Amino acid sequence: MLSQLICNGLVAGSAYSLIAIGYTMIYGVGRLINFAHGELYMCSAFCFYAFYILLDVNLYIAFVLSVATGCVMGIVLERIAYRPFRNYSRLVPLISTIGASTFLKAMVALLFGIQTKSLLKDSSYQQAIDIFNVTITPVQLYTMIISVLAMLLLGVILKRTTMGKAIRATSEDEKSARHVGIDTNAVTSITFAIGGGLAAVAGIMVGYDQNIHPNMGVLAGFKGFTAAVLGGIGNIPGAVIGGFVIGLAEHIGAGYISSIYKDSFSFIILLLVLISRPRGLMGEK
Amino acid sequence: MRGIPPHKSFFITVVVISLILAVFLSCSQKNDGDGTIKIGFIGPLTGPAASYGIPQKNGAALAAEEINTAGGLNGKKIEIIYEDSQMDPNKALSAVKKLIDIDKVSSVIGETTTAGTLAIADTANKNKVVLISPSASGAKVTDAGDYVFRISPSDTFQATIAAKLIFEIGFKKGAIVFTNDDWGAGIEKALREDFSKLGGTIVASEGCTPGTQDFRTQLTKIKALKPDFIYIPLYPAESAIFLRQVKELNVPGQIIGADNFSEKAILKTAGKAAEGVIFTMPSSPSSKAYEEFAKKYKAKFNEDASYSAAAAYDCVNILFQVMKKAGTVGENIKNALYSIQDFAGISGKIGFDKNGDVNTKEFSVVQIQKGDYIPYKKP
Repeated sequence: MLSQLICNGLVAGSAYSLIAIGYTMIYGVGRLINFAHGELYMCSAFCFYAFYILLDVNLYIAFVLSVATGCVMGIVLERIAYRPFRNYSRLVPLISTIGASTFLKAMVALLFGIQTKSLLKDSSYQQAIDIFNVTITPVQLYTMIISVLAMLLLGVILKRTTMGKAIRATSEDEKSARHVGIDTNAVTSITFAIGGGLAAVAGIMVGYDQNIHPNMGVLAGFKGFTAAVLGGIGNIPGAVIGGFVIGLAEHIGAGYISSIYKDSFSFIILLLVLISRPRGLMGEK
Repeated sequence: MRGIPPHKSFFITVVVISLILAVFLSCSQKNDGDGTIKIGFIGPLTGPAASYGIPQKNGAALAAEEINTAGGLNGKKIEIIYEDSQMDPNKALSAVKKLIDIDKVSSVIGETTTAGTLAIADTANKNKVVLISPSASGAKVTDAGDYVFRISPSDTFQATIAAKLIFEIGFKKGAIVFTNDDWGAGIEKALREDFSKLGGTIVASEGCTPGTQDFRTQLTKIKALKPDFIYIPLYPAESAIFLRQVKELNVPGQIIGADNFSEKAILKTAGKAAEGVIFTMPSSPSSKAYEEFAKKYKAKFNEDASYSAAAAYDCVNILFQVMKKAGTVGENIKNALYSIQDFAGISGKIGFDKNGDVNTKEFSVVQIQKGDYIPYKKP
């Protein structure tokens, strides 16, 4: 049973990591907690539903289109809910993202209805595979693989490209970055786009695995945020580790202690870590 | 007002006074003064239990429309005011307060869920407002107060029937996966106790928070114990993903459901994964009355009618019948309701006992075969 729980935990963890990276990067560049991040995750899943199920687009193309839409939504969110309030007190953009979150949930519910929907087209369930004593479905496997690939890709972008350097510079010190000629506005937009894209990947994969509904982003966003804080807000490798810690904690905790409290385990771990290491596991940036 | 130029402050004063006047004027509209007779409705119109709430809203609306077309209540039209509880007891509480304080209703249809009904029972009792739930089935509603009625039988009823059924099929050990709120936990406790009394064992009882979409951990634990059956008091959205994950994880055991399956919403999302599920639901007499109701419902809403819709339809009609003689004061409605013993409802015969529980309804056992509900015949 332990190996199955670990497997489930890693799958969940990869999704949480992707969401956490978005939170952490947006905080790094804009000093903003984006409370609409869970909704970017949810909206992209519904986009995929629209392309793949409603419009009958090819699976892979629908995936790419939906991730692209996630990126665009990130940019739009930045323009509407963040940029106009950048120079006010930090609470203002935060509250405006809360407003964006409510708006997006309501809009999706209006457009698509509140019923939970399945993203599987021709069947009601996937055929699971049995390997190494664990049962896993194809989409769970892909979730882990694609998440890891996305994270590696992000690492390469951040370390090896000019834009990556610009992002890192802006995260470190926005004023100085501007002084050396970096277009911090563009950097912020791109960061929101990356965050939105990663959340989109997570949303589509989890939605495919677990059905979609307009409130699916609430708990996932919360846990992703918890993972980001757990790893040290602003710290990208921290976000990755935080995501996996939370995924494993909740599945193993639910497995061995109690499934009723499954959602609490992540928060308990957060409490314990912050008490001993207030800057998170890997330190804030 | 300092700092504001005189013309602006005059304008602001005018606006504020108009707003205050508007609020007062709308508040002072008495319930049965001039115009309509207001009845409240609270149910989950959005969220995981919306597949109960919306058919109920529709059923109630259909009943009100028919009553009004036929002349209304003593000449006045019935107006149902709908509030969305979003399956959140806190929101249900705000809704009932708004209905009582602002809309001045003397009766409320709701709430759809056990937790919601329990949350608003106190307020209803204190304000002498009748509460009649189409579907709350938790055991605690029996003692929720004088003004609380329901036309769905208590879960203890349902669990007892399920326990007997399971035992008669020959299953001796099983597992329960339940949603951890008043409804789910109530059924879980009742089934576990009844089944043990009969001699069976529940080897695992796994709860989940309402709205859960990932049951893999619970299923992993259960799979290892190889139960004969899994009993699932879960909400429709949860049930749909649960059934899918049962198949994906290859978990053995007959799935047995409760009245969460009374709405076909699960079938739509779960598809083939729902095949073979056996469940208990309050019987709707397959009578002409139900067929006529189903036709009218389909014509108006372009959807199939269901037990939930019929139950809400009955609630409106019971209130109408009672208010015709007793008037619209809450206390009188309450007293008159207790004397209802054989109201011929679309959802079945309705009579209330001294607790406001319905004691005249029956349950049937149904199996999902090829996407349809077929009466279950024991092999």
